[in-house]
Amino acid sequence: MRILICDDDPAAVAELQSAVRAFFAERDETPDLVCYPGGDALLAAPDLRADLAFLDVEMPGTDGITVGARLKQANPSVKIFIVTAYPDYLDEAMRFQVFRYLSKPLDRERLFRNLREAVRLYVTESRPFPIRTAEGVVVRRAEEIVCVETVRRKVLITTTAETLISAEPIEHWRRTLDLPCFYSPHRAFIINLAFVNSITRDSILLKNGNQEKTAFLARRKYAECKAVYLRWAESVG
Amino acid sequence: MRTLFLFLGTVLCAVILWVYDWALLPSRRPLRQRLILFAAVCAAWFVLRLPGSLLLSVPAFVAGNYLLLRLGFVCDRHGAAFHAGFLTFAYAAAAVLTLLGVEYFQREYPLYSRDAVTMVWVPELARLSILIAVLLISGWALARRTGETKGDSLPLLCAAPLLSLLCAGLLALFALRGTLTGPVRLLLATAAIFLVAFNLLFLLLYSHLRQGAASNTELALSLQKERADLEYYRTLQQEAERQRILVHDMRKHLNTVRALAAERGAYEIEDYVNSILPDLQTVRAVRFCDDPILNVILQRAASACRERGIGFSCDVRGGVTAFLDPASVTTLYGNLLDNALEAAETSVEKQVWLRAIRDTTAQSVVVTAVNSCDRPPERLAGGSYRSRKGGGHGLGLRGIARVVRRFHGVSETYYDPQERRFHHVIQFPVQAERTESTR
Repeated sequence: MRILICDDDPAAVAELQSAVRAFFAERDETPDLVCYPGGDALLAAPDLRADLAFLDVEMPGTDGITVGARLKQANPSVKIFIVTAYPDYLDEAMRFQVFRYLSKPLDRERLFRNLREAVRLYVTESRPFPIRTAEGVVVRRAEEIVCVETVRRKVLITTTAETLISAEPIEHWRRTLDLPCFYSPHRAFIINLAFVNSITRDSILLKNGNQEKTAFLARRKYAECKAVYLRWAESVG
Repeated sequence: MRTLFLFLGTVLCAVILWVYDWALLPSRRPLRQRLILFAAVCAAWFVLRLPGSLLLSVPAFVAGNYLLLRLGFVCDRHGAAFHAGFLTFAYAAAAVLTLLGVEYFQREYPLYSRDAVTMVWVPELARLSILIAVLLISGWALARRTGETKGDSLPLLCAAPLLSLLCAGLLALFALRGTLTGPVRLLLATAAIFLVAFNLLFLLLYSHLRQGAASNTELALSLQKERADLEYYRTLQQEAERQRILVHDMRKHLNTVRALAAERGAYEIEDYVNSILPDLQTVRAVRFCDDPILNVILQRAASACRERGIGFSCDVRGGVTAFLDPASVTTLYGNLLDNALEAAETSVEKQVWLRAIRDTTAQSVVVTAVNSCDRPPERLAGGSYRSRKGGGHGLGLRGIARVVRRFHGVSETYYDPQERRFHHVIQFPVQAERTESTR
């Protein structure tokens, strides 16, 4: 996991670096941690790949908001933490999806809780799933799979870009898609909760931008589905 | 004489129907049109009753009732059929009961079958009893519609079922008497059973109406609170705006004073102005989000948290209220925060978190309110939580539920015993902004 820290205050960078290292040490993991003294330095770097980024807002030269927007462009699934001493609302930061706001001085407990959520989401979204089709094997990440459904004895996998016909039965996918973002609301459907737009007593509307798909919901599963979805949404939201 | 009785009976019938329909159902047409409609139907009834054939008058009565309900009042086909059938049955039952009463006291049962005048006045007497019953029912129905319960009608409401139970008992007693013939005994027993069944039915109906009235009162209270809250937050918002303008002007004036002082060498004044200018910066209110009403709600919550020593953390993103009207924003966020603050205040951790995030892919908004809470709230049988306030309180959660329903959202509440925190999570689809549900 590649993590970027960008702040013009060396003390703040050191504190954040130590906290992030401590968090991953607890999990027996060593992240690729890169620190920058300002926005210009980060944008000038040859490698803009990032999974997580901690950005200060007010920095000399390019500010954290602009850096965040550029990072999001380069890495659509990057989780950006805005670290600020100002409690004010940041209109600009809203244009790209900020994962969390952290206020200075850092509250370590809050940082750890947010990091746990970010890592869980990262793991969920980035896990690859090989899909065996008649043409060959296609690999799609969890965040790209909208739903799996059975239509006339065929198993269709709708992804953000296309619909694939899987050679495996739906039971295989029920076992394989064992991430918290996947849920089976009906024997013929497995849905990715990240695409849920609305839930009614007997159906779930999935939205991927302008594309819509309706999944069946077994009536006895309504309460369970609602609870599973909302708890998942709370954990990643 | 018979024609006169028939005419009076028809008029009485019309009065009963008018009271019954007017009390139970909202009108579809203006008063004049309804009166004409009633007059036309009653005239038809009168003409059809003249031959004295039940085969003609009973269907005419049912059809007339049905037409009046469908054309004059807001009543669907099933409702109109039910009310027409019910009234016809009530008329028939009352006629049988009156007849049995006459037979019991005067021992002239066969007279009924011979004397045409008796054949007319016995049902009219029955109709008078129905009129009393209808007046009582209309009292209930009106109280339900207006959301008020009339205390002075309570003795009447209690007397009606007691009297009918007494009648049922008497009928059962007559039925058990050996002197009566078989069919009459059967009729009496059936009437007694029906009377008891009607009592039970009305008891259920009354209970249902009471629940409806209570629910209406609650809704009215809730809406009143919603309006008052919205007005309050609007006033706060205006006050904050005035304060912002005042601070802005003061800063400008002080800058001018400072410049003038520097120009004329009054350095003490310049230093003094320099020392107070930073204080004016701190007066600036924190801006939490882009919605002015929600911003005021959050400012108020943050201030209340500071006063009560509760930690407040908030992350409200842009566009999370775009699909809600201001009253719903107030109800939703105001109540969520009020509940969270109240629960967190008595906890050891004393923390409140609010997060509202818009997902652009799934086009939904997820609102999460979490508060520290040492003990799990008590759950009711339906799965909802019991308000700890009792009395006329506890409207907050219902207000939130109403907003959730109105905007097709889903919500979930749960208590995390490990972290000792209460979570309230709500999700709204936002594909139809600023459009309300028709549900």
